[in-house]
Formats: sequence, structure tokens, C-alpha cells
Amino acid sequence: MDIVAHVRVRPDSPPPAPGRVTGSGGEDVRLLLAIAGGRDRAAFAALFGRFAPRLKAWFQRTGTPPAQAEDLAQETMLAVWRKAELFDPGRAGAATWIFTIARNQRIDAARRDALRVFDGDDPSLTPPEPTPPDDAFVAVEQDRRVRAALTALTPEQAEVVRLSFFEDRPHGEIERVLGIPLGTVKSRLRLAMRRLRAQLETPNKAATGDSH
Amino acid sequence: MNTPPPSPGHPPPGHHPAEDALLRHAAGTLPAGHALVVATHLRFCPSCRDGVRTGETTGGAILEDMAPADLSPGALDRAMARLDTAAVAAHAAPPVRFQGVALPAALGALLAPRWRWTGPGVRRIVLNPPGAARAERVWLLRVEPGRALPSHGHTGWEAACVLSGGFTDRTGHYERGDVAETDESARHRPIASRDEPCICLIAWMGPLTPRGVLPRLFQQLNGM
Repeated sequence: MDIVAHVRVRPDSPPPAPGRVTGSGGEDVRLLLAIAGGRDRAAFAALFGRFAPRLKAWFQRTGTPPAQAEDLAQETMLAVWRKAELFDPGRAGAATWIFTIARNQRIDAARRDALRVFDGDDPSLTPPEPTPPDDAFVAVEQDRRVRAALTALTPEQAEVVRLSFFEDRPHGEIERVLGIPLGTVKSRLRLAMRRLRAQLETPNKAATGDSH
Repeated sequence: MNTPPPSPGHPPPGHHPAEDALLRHAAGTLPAGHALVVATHLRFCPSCRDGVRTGETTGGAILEDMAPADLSPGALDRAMARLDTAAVAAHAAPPVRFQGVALPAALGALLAPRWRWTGPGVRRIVLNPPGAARAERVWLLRVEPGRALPSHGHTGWEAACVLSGGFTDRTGHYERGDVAETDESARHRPIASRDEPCICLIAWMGPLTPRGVLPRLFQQLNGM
């Protein structure tokens, strides 16, 4: 069971919220596959143009000084070039995959290269069933769905979710920034996460998730 | 791999990391020790792997929505110039096997060669994950069957993942792959199951608050 089944059995999935940029997820996937398949430098340049400035902004927002933020953006894009063969469009959208690389770059920088939180490349975490070829772009749909799910959160929930991505001591910092008690931060985050998961994961996941 | 509680007398415990911990794990903003506990749990739990993936997808959307920052002049050229020297994708380090469990490679690298006596029926391996806060402790703890840890409270969070055996405290019964998370308000006295030694990866923040003279001595001897 995976997101593929979810998308198939839910043709009534909500349309993207009006007025939002729907992203160029499909185009980004194409660029990544061009790098993976043909070491396509033009594709890399296009991807760099789209993501490097956003990566720099993200690193800065997480508290990295500007010069180091640009270095990390560079390193992230070079890692994208090196690891493009490992990108599986059936498992993650382009932005999601690049995000995980950036996150690991930041953790490695902070922890002197020694501990990665979650190694998405790890073969033991690869789902056992291969992604059918005609579903290869399903993660683009997944990205679209997460955007719809994010816009469906209350503004308060969306805020704690965003801050969770930017603050290393999220609960304490969020508590300070928003001026709300820690218990409220946690309960908002949990509610938000449940709503995101309900939107994105298969309905029977709870039943199947506990068995190997 | 969440086996049900061994008897119907136990209420269903919280065997998974809390949803906010999964989200922060995906975001890369969990403390180092807590992240290691969650990463270990993910080895056992497809459902939480899906949860982390949802968090990562959220991260992808947030990244895409960032207002672009200005790059320094020539940034693209510098990146392009490095493409030819960029090494081919390195393979991920193989997971480490411990007690029949595939652990994150990062955890395996931290394992010290031997267990150290910690108290009656209790031994530990102290881990020092890079990036851990000064007040953060990360141990592999081995408790002989039926043994109890001294009753103690916390001044910060605690997170544990059972690697083998099981334990029970007032919050529930935990077995292989289960995660127990507590916060500073919690006070507990974990007891290992009777059938086999209980081995846990355990991380916590801040000093423990043992009750009684012997437990305090136990704490001081062990730097808890």
C-alpha cells in the first residue's frame, strides 16, 4: 500500500486552492530525470535557477549566516547532481527530494558530518514493491495534495508547522515567538500533522502500518 | 512491529513517537538523541515512515514557497565548474545489525565495545551522538529480566526505543520497536519483562530526579 493506491482510489481529491502557485513539480521531475539519465548540464542549470535561491533562503531562515547559507545551497545542488540516479519519482516529488538533501546537509554541517537524521537513500527503507512505470509521476500529485492539505490547515496550525521546520528548538522557540504555552504548541502540531496525514496517506494505513 | 500488549489488562500504550516528533524529525529539528530514537523506531514502523514522508513532503512545499534569496554573482558558474569533479553518488552506509535488528548506520558508528556496569542488573553503553546538547544523554541500556530501574522523574524530555525484550511502567507496556516518550512532568519506574533482558536506546535531556538515597547515589555514580 502506498500513495499510488491512495491517488487511484480517491478521484474526488480536492483541486488546488485557487490563487496559489501550483508549482512546476512535473517540470522539476523531468529535469532531475534528465540529470540522472544523461548528466544533462542544461537541466542542472535550470534546476539550480529554481532551487538554489530558495535553498539559500531556507538555510538562512533556519539560522544559517548568509555566506554559509549560500555554500550549503551550492553543496545541496551538487549533491542533487551526484545523487540524481537515486531520485525515485514514485516515492517523492522533486521539491521533497531536494528538501531532504538540504535538510541532511544542514544536519551534517551542524553535527560535523556524522549523524543523519533519516537516510532516505538507505536500501533497507526502500519499499519492497517497485513503482509501476505508469505511476512514476504520482509524487507530483502527492506534492499537489500536500499543498492543498496545507491550505486546509487553520492559520494557527500552519504557523506552528512552518516554525517546526525553521527552529532547532521548536517547542521553546515557537512558545516564545507565538506567545502560547508549550502544551498548545504540541497539540496544534499534532492536530496539524494528523490532518496532513489524513490527506496524504491511505485510509487503512493504521491497520496495515503495524505489520511488516 | 508493534506486537499487542501481552495481556488485555494493559491499556494500549503510546507505542509510536508523537506526531509532532515525526514532523520535527522530517524537518531535521529534533535534538540529536531524540532523532536517533525516532530513526531507530522507523526501522520497525512502516506507518511512521509514512508519517515522516508526509513531513518531508510538507518540507518540500515549504521550500518551494520560500521567497528566493539573492545569490552572489557567478553562483551558477561556480556550481557548473564543480560538476565534473563531483563524485558519483556514494552508496549509503549499510545498516548495522545489533541483536538481530538493523539499526541506522549512524547509531552503529556510536557503539562502544562493551557494556559497563551501571547498577544491579543494569548495564549501559554511553553514546555521544555528534550535535547532542550538553544536557542530553544517549545510552543503550540493558536491564536483566524482571529488574526495575529506580523510580525517577525528569527535568526534560525522554525518548526510548525498545530493541529487544520489553518493559512496563505506569504508562504502558513496551516491546521491540515501541517508542516511549515522556516529558518533565512524568515520574516512572520502568520494569523489564521477565522473559529476556530488555535493551533500549534511550535519550533524555536534563538531570533525572531520583527519589530516595540509593537511587540518588545510583544517579551520581552514573552521571545521569
